[in-house]
Amino acid sequence: MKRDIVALVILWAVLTAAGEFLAASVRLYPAPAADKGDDIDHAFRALIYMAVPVFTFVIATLIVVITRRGTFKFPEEDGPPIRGRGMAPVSWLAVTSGLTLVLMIYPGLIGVNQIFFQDKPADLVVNVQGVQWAWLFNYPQQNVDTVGELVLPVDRNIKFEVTSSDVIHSFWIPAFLMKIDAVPGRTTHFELKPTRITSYKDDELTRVQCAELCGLDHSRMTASLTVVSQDEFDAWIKEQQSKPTPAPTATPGAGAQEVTIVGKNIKFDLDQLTVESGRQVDVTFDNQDAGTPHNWALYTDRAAATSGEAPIAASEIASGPVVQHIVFDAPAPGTYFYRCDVHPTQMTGELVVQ
Amino acid sequence: MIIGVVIAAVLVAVFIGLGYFAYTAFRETEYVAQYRRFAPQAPGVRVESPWTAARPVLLGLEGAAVGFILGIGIVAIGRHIAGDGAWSLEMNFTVGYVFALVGWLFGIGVLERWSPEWVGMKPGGGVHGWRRYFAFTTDHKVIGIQYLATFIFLFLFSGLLAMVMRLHLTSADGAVLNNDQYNRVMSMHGIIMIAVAVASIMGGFGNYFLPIMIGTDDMAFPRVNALSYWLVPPVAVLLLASQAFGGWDSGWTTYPPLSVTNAHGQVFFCLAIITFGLSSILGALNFLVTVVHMRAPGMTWSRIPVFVWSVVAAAMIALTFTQLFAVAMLMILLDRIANTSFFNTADGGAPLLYQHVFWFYSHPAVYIFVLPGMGLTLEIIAHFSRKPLFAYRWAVTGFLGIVAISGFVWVHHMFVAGVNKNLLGPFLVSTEIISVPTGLVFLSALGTLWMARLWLRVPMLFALGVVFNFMIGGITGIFLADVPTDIDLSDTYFVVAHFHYTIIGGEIFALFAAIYYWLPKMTGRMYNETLGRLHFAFMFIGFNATFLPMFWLGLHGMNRRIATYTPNLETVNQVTSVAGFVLGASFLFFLGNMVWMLIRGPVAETDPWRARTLEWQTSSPPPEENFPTPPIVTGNPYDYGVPNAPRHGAFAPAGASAEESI
Repeated sequence: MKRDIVALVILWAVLTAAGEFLAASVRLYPAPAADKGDDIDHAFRALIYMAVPVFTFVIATLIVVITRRGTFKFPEEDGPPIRGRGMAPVSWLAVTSGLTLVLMIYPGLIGVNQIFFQDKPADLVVNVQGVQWAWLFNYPQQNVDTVGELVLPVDRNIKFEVTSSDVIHSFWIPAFLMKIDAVPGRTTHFELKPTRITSYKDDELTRVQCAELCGLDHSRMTASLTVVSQDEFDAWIKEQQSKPTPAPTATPGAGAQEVTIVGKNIKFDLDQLTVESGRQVDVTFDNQDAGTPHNWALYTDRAAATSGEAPIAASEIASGPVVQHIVFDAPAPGTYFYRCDVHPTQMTGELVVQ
Repeated sequence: MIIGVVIAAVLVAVFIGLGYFAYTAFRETEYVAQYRRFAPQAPGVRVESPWTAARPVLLGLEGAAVGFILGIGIVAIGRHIAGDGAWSLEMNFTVGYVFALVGWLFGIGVLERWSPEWVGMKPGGGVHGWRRYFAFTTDHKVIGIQYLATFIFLFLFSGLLAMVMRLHLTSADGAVLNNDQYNRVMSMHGIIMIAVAVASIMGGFGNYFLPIMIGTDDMAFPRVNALSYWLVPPVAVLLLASQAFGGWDSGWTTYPPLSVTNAHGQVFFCLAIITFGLSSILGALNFLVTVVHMRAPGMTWSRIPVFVWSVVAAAMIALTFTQLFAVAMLMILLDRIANTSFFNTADGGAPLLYQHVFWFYSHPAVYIFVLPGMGLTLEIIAHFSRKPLFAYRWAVTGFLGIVAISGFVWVHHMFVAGVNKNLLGPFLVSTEIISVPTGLVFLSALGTLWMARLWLRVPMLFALGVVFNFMIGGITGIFLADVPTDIDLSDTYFVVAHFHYTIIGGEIFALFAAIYYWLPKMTGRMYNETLGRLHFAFMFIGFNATFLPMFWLGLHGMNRRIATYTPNLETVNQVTSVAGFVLGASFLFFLGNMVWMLIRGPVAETDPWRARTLEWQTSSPPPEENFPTPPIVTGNPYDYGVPNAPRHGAFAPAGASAEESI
């Protein structure tokens, strides 16, 4: 009995020391890039420090018991009849209750207070809308809209107002260790302050990712995130504001070629359209997806569309059901690429000009 | 025109069905009564052809077909009269299924074994020999084996789905499936494993051993018991058949609005869950009444084996909360087929309502999984440590404490769902309190092991595996109960790793411990020790190597339920997949061992483990009435090494009275 206890105490002490050393020296979490991410990171570390002695106690007991008392043959004599009444269970209960109480207070309740009840006035508001399977961002103070691209200034308090127009999504930014669900019919919000400059190119965690199963392309429902300095952010905003908005619908002249394309269930009904060169084209785009935003945008080719070149012609992004007309002069003969800018992988096709 | 054909078909179905059923019921009862009178002890006289074995299932299928036609016909006629068009796949199918389920139950055995009583006739007797495993049988041991065989098959099938998923995830862009296929395979893997977790230990070993361990001859309601098993095959059929109608891609949690707008397969899912819930509630009710009313003389509450206590605790949860899951499914179903708009925001619905109702069952449900696992682990640890179970009453208090708290923690699944922030603190507190009663169970396990004489047979290896795995599952649970860390970790692979550690680590390891522990009693043959050790080694190493890296994946930006992921995580995913294949391969040792046991296994003794509990005092396998004479209980089940401890229980051999032998 005495030897077992000595072995257990020594083993537990050694394992705990090793475990705590590892916990302090190995970074399990990638470094967060936001103030509340730091709070979460601290909470995680605090829990690891507390978990190590519990973990090592069980491991040490198992090791001591199995190595000192284990046998593959039937043990002819029975063990000591310790029933576990009296003080042993009571003190165990006291220790586990005490540990649980500590956990509840820190990192538990203190963390909740830090993260949810200490909101500072927001320097920047971003409206986030989840749709199957894309993220739409709106900067209401600057009157800028983007699809699949989130740019934030560093060291500014940012408030996200999050909603969804179809099913439940979850607005997760792994680099900030932060997420909140996007629920149809409600607006949820979250405030934080990015603390360092970073981008998806430097670090895959710097992205927006849908974290709540939302159907077919859930895993690809991402948006790029870039954290920049205030100057660069202002420049980016200016650039966005100066982007030409899609030309207002011109009245088609006589002899325009009429083409109709339907968007339904996040698909175009036609993946090829054919028109004649040199004549005006009147594309009727019928978005039949209630509540889901689409548009129809024509580019010279797929590469031009993904690299961010301006479209040859495009309609505004609008939620269905809506019918839009896109009127333009047919370009030189060749094959062109069209897509919905909200659903660049699900809704594409080619326009053949003869 | 079409409606005329439908009406005609319904009428024909009604006449054929009722006529044939009436004829069958009458003929069977008459026939069996005669047969019993003239040849009561000679079942071998009858020729046992495959047809006679298949007969109950075929009758059940016939009843299902008749009911199905009746159901879809009634809806078609109603819709036609209302001017809606006769056919709406989801509505016709739903009502057709309800009628088909009733027809199935009547055909499989209610008609022959039960309903004659309702009109004053004598119900037919049971079938004998191997055929009873395919029939509506009231022997709890047969039902236990039916459950166990069904759910081990489903476990292995769903495990194969997991292998497909791991193969797919060896590439960041997905290796073998498209996104829709992945989502459907993932959803199917999830719900089948949930069903396995709910019913494998409770339905299999609970049914077989709970009555024996408390010293009685059957469950309190044997026919309800048979009913609760025969509700299960329709569940499996629905889940598989759903794939022909687009399957469902919303996971096992099926959050609306996605689950209101996805493919028709979702309706099959909802009906399957409601049916399975009914089975679960009936089973739970039966366990509770059995333990309260059927204990042998002397089997006081402080003498019942700890496994029985754990089943009682789990049954309390199942009986109280399962209907909430059915209600959640019913709301989705009604939103789809009757436009009730519980969850349609445009018409005033609230998607979050579903999550509250759903988790109000589905969090307590995890304790339906792990409580019997904990009970089994303590049971096996006590017998193989050759010591009394340490702090028995505290362990039972732990079980009941878990039951009490389990209903007050559900919001921890919704910390990032956009609930009122004032809910976060209270549910953080209630969730973390659960670790106190769980700690008592660990106290009991570790205290029993301390200074023990450890007999490291295969059941004990698996039980020790539970202690290790469940500890990791429990500790990582704290990170998810803690709101600050859960904000990032929810819906990531950290969660995936955590619940696999609790469910596989805490329950499936216990399930296999119980299989090696109790199959000698059930089959009368011993398994192969070497193959069993190999199974344990591969399963334990494969399991930990698969799921430990998943914690890392969750911390590094891999969210759950995704068919594709960012390329920087590819290497770790490949390691995980290879380990997953090792885990999958470990079950080949298990299957090999089972085949070896049935063909070449040596005959098992009555008590190969020198254990004290009642199931080891009766023969292997036990006789139909479990004991030759009713047992009398005089001592504690785990008093190993206690000087002059009375036997736990004893019974006289056939013909003598029990008192004489004690």
